[in-house]
Amino acid sequence: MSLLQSIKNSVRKRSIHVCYVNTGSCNGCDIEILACLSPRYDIEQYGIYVHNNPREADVILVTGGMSPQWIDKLPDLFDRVPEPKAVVTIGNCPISGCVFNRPGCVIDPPVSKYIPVTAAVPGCPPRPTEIINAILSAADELFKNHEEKEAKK
Amino acid sequence: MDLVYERDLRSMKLLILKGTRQDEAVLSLAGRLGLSRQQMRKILIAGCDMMTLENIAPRLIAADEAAEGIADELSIPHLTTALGLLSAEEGEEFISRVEAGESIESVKKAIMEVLA
Amino acid sequence: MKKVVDVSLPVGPVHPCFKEPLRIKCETAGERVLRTEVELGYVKKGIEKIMVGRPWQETMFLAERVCGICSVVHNTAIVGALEAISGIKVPRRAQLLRVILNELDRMQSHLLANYSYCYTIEHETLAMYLLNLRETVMDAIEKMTGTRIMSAYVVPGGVREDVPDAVLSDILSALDKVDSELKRYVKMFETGKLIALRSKGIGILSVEDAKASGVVGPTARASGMECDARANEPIYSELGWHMITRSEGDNFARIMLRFDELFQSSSIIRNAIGKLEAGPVRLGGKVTAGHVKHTIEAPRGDLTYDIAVDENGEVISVAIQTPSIMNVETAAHVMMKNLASAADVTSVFISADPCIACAER
Repeated sequence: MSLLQSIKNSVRKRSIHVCYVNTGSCNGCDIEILACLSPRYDIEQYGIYVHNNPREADVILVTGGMSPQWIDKLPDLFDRVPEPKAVVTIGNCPISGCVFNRPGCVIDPPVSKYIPVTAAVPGCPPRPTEIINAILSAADELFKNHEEKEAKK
Repeated sequence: MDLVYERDLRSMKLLILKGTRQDEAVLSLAGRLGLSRQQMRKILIAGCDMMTLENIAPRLIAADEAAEGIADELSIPHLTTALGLLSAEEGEEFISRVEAGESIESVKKAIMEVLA
Repeated sequence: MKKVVDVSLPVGPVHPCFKEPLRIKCETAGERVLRTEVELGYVKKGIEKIMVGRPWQETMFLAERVCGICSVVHNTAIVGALEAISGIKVPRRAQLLRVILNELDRMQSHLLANYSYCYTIEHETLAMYLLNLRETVMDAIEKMTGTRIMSAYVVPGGVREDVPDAVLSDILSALDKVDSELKRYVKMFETGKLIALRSKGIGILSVEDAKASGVVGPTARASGMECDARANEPIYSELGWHMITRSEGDNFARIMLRFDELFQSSSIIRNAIGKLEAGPVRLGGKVTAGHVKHTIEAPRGDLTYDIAVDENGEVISVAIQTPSIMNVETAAHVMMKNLASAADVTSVFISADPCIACAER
């Protein structure tokens, strides 16, 4: 590992910018992500910042089972996120559509049909601690030695 | 990557109008104006935004309560304050035309021409 | 919609201030916002359509997932509608437990709404204080029902399980903490000069406009309309509920009204816990066919379930009229009409406590 790479690794570990995208959830998961911001869980002590701006995000949190308006907009939004990037889905909806995936509904899960998904946190909704845990473990694996991995390809 | 900012919203608007309460409201307004359900839907989809369509039932009920006299017969409060399909001045103008002696049928026809 | 001016300023769907996606297209002339158009469809799931043809045991859980913030009240509303159809009696202890849980839910929803507003006007300190206080209320809900959100605690004929006395005293101590902390935060909000500059006289909704647009809940009460479905429920009057209204109708009034209601909810819970007597919490009943229109007060306003079931308990038709439909529409089309600055669009919108998941279903 080069010196530059090791500096990049240590910096990236303490600076993960998060953007959450609600693609048709019921709000439950979004509220649990918001609860992570509170001083009780204090997501910023792990170096995670919730900005909700895709242009400066590293991790996108997707909640919800793909409603019709998002089908072209979510891949667009994913394209605008700079490399390295990861997608973590929160809740059951992005995996299976949960209770909404029935005949007559307008959603079209899973999210992995449209963008590559790194990790999924099931639950309806998952607890804030689980969300923090998922972001930390997914980001660590993915962003470590990113440049060297790219060079090998 | 092409950035599509304006999408065709007509199918989604129709989905909203198919809801139980919204459909009842559309039918009652269509009955007032003497239109078919499809004609009414077409006017609403062209002239209103999605949030107004969701809220169409409470708005029309409020207009029903506010309407009286000539305005009620021409459904002016429904078309102006409730849905914004006509401006307030246009509504006043139609009412004054009836007061000046024009028949209600011909003014209704004129309203339909403005809407269509 | 017909375009009036050329400059259309889109806000959303992914925006730092919005918890949920929607796009507001503001037609502006310079800084002034002339009118707005709302584009929805980002969280449309078609819940009403899925409900039709399913037994009510399933629709109960679907109704809860209309909205994650006020899931308890949706649960209570659909169960109340089914009980009204079938004439199922609810024991006294279960009624009081329902009131306690509903008021806790209202408290966390109002705290979240005020957090969002403070975050939107960039008063992050107060926002974080309020969000942390909300965790205290969420803990009380978790102790009572077993989970933070989507508890499915209210079931036809009563509540799912009894609450032991230890938990009730925990809830009381949580309320003590909320009351003492909240007094400080309300003072911060009320006397903060920068908050007043950004809130007073902005986004005014007059009484006439409120009546014409059918706005409900705290948004209507802040404009001086007396509109609260709790007035029709005798148990609330017994527990010391009274109508709170303010006359200004601006952003500041809407947030202050929610603070006032937080104190009221807390006193209602105290009274309800004081009146709890030992007894059954769940009785049986038989489902019959029928059609009912059931209205209760959600944190955001009147929530109506218009539901028809057949004798097997299968839903024939359902229409959910959520308060956010009226409130979001009014915020976008009445409060934002002729708004002096495009920078106020987000704060005016958030002050009406929008919930797009409710509005679209």
